[in-house]
Amino acid sequence: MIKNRPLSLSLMQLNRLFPFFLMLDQDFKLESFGTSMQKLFPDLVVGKHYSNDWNVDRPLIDTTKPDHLKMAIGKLIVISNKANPELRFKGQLEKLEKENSYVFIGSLWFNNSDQLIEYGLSIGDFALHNSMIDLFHVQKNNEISNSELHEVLQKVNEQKKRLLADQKSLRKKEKMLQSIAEATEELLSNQNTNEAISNSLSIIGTSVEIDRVCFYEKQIDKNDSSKIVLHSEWKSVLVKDVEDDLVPKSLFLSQIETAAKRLASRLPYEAIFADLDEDNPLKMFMGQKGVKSIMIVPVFVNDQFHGILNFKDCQDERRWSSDEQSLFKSFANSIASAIERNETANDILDTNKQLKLFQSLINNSSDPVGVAHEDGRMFYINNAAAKLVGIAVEDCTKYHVSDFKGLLINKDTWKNNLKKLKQFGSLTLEGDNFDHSTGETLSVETTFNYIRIGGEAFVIANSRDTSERKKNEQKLKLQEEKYHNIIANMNLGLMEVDLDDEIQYCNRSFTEMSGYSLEEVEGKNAIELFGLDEKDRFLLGKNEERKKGNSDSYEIVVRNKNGDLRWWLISGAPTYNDAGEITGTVGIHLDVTDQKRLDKKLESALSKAKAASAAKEAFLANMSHEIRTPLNGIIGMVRELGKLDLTQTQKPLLEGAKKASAHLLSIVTNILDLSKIEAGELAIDKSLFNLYDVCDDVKNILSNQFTAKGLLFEIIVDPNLSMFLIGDSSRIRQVLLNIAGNALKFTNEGFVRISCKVNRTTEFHQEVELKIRDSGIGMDQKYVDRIFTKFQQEDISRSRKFEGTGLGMVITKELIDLMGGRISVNSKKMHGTEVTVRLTMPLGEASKEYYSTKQPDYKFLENKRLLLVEDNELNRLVATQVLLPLKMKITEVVNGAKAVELIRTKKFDIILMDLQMPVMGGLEATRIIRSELKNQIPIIAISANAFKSEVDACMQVGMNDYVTKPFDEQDLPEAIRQQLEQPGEESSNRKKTESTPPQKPTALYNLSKLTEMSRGNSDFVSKMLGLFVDSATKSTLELEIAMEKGHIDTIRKLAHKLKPTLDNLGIDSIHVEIRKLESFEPNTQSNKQLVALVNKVSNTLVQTSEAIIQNELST
Amino acid sequence: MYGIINKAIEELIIENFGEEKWEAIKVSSGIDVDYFISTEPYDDDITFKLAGATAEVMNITLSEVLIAFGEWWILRTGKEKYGSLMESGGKSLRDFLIHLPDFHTRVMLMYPKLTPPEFEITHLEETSIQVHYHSKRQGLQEFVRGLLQGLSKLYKTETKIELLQSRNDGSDHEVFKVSWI
Repeated sequence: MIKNRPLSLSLMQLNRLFPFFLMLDQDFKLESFGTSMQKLFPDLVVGKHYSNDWNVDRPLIDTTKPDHLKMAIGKLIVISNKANPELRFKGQLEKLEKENSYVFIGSLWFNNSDQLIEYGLSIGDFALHNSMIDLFHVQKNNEISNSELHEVLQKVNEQKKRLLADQKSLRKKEKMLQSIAEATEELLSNQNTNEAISNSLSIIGTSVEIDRVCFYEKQIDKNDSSKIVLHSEWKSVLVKDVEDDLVPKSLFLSQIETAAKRLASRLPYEAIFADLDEDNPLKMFMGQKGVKSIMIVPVFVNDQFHGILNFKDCQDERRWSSDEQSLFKSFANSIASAIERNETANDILDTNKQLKLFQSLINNSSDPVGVAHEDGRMFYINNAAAKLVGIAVEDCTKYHVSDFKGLLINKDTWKNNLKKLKQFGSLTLEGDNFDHSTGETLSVETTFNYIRIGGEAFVIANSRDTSERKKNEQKLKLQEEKYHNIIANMNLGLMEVDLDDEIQYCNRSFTEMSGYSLEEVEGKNAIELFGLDEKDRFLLGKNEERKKGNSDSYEIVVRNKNGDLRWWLISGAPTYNDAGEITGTVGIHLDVTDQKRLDKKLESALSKAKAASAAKEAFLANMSHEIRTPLNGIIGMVRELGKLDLTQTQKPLLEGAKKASAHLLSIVTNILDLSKIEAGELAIDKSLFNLYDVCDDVKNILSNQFTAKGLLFEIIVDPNLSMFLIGDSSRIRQVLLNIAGNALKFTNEGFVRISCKVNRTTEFHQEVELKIRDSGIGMDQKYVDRIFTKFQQEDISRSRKFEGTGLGMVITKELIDLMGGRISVNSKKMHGTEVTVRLTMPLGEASKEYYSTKQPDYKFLENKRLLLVEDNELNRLVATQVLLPLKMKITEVVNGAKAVELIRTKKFDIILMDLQMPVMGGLEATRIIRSELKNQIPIIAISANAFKSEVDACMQVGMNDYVTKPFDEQDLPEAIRQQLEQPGEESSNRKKTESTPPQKPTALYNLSKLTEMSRGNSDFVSKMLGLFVDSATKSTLELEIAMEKGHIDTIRKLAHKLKPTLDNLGIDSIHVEIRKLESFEPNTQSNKQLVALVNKVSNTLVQTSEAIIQNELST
Repeated sequence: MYGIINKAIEELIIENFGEEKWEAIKVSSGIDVDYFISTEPYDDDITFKLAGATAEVMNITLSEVLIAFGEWWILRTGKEKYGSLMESGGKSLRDFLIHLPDFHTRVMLMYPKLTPPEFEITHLEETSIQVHYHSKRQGLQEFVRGLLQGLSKLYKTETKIELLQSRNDGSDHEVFKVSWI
């Protein structure tokens, strides 16, 4: 039993037992405290209320009450220091009744041992019985255990995650395997391969949980095998459709080089969008489809790259496991198998179809076909062959080749032919077969082929009936012979040449024509053989025409075997081969030499006739002129005689003489007009005129005569008639007077009416119809038809009633023709006559020119110094004559050298420079004047050559202007004025005019130009003509000598020199020829052409010279 | 709260409804912790989320969840894990409840990172006692009720538990009156 006796402990003992004790007095003020407490709180002061330094954390007590601490007695107390609440003490409060005080017995409570060190405590600061230190040990152990537990848990967690991932992967793999199996089954079971592929993509896509699966196939029909085209595509519902339109349906593997390399090695290619370079085409492609990750697997069919499978993830940057890659490859193989199977099936189907087709084709061929084994046993025959040999198709294998009689190859020939067949593989024989169905023998051509199929050899025979062909060939042969004979014997020469002009064939007539035998011409060059110039433009042109396939005819001079020149008329046509290509030319030749000679004679005769006619007309004109002068005297005398007092006997005699002389005058005037017209000398003026005025003139001239005869004469003019027209008013007046005069003559009562009507008005022209109607005696139609024939009158009896030359209407018509108009006559005997004239004339405008013509002012040119450089005397005369009115000081020299020499010492204002001169030409002279003499004097070139190249050459050497010979009389003064006129001196706006074109040649010469140039100076004209006659004789001689010696250059120069003279004298008949001679090119033109040209020019010069002597210079 | 609380919830669910439900609750709560260590402190939020998810998955009210858990805490966790310690709390319900404040003070000291509630015992009668519950946390009063029910069952004492006052009524703490015969 425990004794209840007071227990007292010394403070030291208390300290040892409870070093953290606190002793409080009855008022809860601190009385004393333990040593460890003192160590922790050195500032702890005795006498202070406990609550100054301490909080009671537990139990929950109402601290507002003074003795609240009593409430904690018997309970577990936790107090903490106010200054450092981390320092907590766990213990209990006991009241010491004896001491009337309270003691807190407890221990410092730490959560870990590190705090001990922190507060400088050690194990010695704790009572021995205090288990706090032991608790620290337990806590530490717990911490270690917890830490280890953490590690374990972490490991477990990781393992668990891995397990889960593996499990997931396994499940996925399982699912994929299952889907591959399903897809493969679909590919195996569905006969429609395209549909099967499409379905299998869907199966795979769904199970693998990707967004797109595509199958692309290599482009087969294009050369570029790297292009792949979308075959099928499956996409998950999550993928937006709108993007598809933006995406190409094909792409080039070559664009994605890295991928292509891997795929070609049968390896899959994997790409993550974010990892690809910006310039990688695949990145662009993936971007367009919104693909983040792609896996491409190649599909190889029959060991050939066929296409690719694309697996695309549009949500994640998915990286594909090796398992997945293997499965995809397996799927690619399944697709490849399906395609292979399909192709094989199609091939078999195609082969079967082809077999059936060929079988049907051969079976039904009209040509017999048979196949035999190498040893001659029959293997197959078609229907035609069965019919030929007279057995059933199906029985053929029972037979041997030797069983069939009458075949091209029989038992005897089989072995020999078999040897050849083995050597060459093929053999074609012609011969006969006996047809068992008709009993006839057929001509056949049989082709035998030797082939090996597997280990066995066969002979295939294919026969054709050639009976018909042979018949046709025979027919053709006969026809050929027939035509050959015709060609060989015809009078026309036939020659064939190839593209190189080598003679391939000619007929007998040709050999006769040419003098050569067939052997002599065959293979020879035709051009060389017949002395032709192969560079002749004419021949080259003909060859070109043949190459184009054109045919034509032409005449050519050739040299025959004897060396004679012959004219041949050749009709040439191209020849063709079977392919339609031109192989050469065939020509039909006719010797026309004799005809040519005849033609030349005719030509000469015609030329003489023309000359005679011209001479006649010239004579007439001359004579008329000569008659007019004395006739004027006769008429004047008769008129004067009539003024005297005459007897009644004398008066009728004088009247007779008056009429006779007037008649003679009209005859002479008409003859003069007509001869002028026929000589082409009658020029039509084109100047502004008023047709109203012309009509008025006619009325005024004739009205008295109409009145005297008691006839009504009226003129009606269309108000639409233009006031101003351009034409020849005097000739129109002459026409009207002539027709109206006839009307007056042949109308005894009634009227004569002239009407002037406008038929048509265009922007620039007016067509005028002049109608002269009378109520006279009219004409017979027969006469109307001859009315425009010279010297015709209706009444041809000796005692005709009406006077006249019969030239009036002829002249009228000629004049109207010259004006470009038309005339028609409408008449009926006793019913009057109507003559209609239609003229179309340019519309004119009333200008100052019409009333007064202002001439350019050349006055300032007076006394200017002009140097005329010209070798031709005639031309110098023309130039000085033309320049005479300008009153210039003219110095003449005959070549460029003299001009240069003169210019060195003498001053001139302007130079007229001919181009072609002996010693030194104009171009060279100008070059020296400009370069060496540094003289800028204006130089005007004068040349008969109007080609642009020469104009350019003149300007290049520094000439200022250019005038073409022959020049109009105003051309030279105008050119000079333009060069010398100072800017302020321009006196007129006259434009430089072009030289007028040469007139149409109607006579040997035409002096109108020369006359114009002479300004009425007949001496000048005579001098010019005299010079021409002299030079013509000389030039003809020089031309002939040069031709004989073959001096082409001399001929060219002579032609050049003659050209301006001929133009000035209007010798237009050799206008073309003289120019051809001037530019004659012996390399491209034949000698024959040269001879013809020189002859023509010489003849004309001689004829013209004679005519001028006779017509112009004989007086 | 210490891991032991969460662990207790886990065991409660697995024991009564199976592993799958627990996984479902974890998925529903969004908590990815495979193993709770009893002596490790966890964020309070985890416990509240688990409780909420349990109510949702089990289709019961949060109060029911908390009461069930309170019972479980005493009957399974306390008894099985702390066995003798629990038993040393007292020989009877009344005894246990009287020592409850000291008991909890010791727990507080043992688990320094705990923000422990504080209990106070008043009106100690022969057949009843008032248990005051002071806590900085809101919404766990039903858990306390479950604890009291669990204790009743532990001591095989049929009790009547009344909530005399609550923070819901404007009081600063809850007061439960536990009565027995």
